[in-house]
Amino acid sequence: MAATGAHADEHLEHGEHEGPLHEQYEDIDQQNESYIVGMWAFLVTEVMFFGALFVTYVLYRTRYQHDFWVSHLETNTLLGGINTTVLLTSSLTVALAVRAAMLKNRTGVILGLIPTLMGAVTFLVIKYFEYAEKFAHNHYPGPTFIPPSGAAKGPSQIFFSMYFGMTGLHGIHVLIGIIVIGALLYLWYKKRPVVTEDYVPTEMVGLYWHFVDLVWIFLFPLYYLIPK
Amino acid sequence: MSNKSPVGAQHHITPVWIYLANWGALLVFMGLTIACAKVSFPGGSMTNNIVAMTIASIKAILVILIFMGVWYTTKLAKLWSIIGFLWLTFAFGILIDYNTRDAIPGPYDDAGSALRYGKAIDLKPTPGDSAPEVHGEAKKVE
Repeated sequence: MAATGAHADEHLEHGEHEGPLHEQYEDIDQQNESYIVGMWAFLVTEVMFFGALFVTYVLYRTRYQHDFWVSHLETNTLLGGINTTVLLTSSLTVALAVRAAMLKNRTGVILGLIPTLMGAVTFLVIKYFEYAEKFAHNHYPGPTFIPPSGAAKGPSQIFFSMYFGMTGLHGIHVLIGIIVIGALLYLWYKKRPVVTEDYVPTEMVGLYWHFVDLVWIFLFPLYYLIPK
Repeated sequence: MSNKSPVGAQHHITPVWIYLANWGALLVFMGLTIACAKVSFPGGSMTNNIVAMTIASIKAILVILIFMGVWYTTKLAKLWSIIGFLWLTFAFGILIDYNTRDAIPGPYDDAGSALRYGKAIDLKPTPGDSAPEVHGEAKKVE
């Protein structure tokens, strides 16, 4: 994104900037479609990445249903629910920011991205408190692991390994989201033509952030709401 | 879809109320999934799992179609938005019988450990017998 920005600036300096269309594309429609398809191709790899973990989860869950149920009682449904609300709301605000970008409404984009960024940070802060609670009870994988009472040690370790693995990987995605949304906000604030003249970079960040929300939509019932 | 602007069909401007309604629906579904987790449906936990995953899938479809704009995008982008989930279906499909397979590799009762310890372990579970039958060592003595 930075490279494209520099490219656009260079064009401006020479006074030959002709909008966001790059020379290898027929028209703006073809360019936009290429960008969006490229982003979806990346998201397909993300689905495969997380998908393998979801398959692993299902295989262990069906094998150790009872121990998973006992272990899941240690997760905090209230905090998980708050985090779900936070992510769903940040998905709304980023969608509104993308809409404003299409309308070239800079104030609208900034007003949409700021709450999105705040939502992402809030999510990680809440996650920190959740993790701290697990660590305080030695519910983290390793030699000092103590299973919750009523759960077999091995299967419970699998549950918490997968809990930390999957929510941790999701957390890393949230962290990357904070960096990317922050960068996008900066570019809009600085009125860089790479974002102000072409809505697609904003749209791609939006797609990424919706995907992060999408993963959480499945993580929430699978880790916080296991039936007996 | 109707207001095709000079910049193209992808430049669809979704009305704000659709985004707000979608957000509201997602929050309602979240409440519903929490409520359903507290209820014991007939058919046991499997019914609960199906209900929870159905709600999660509806939420995912709402996010993909409305928030991610797949509803309004081009056919090629639509195809790419489906393909990952198609892969996921296959991944689940090839492993759906995993837990009913005859020999399940595990840390204590797998074929690998049998080879390591020079023992043949009968992996077929017999009714009323929980421990795997160990033989081979005794046969050597004979």
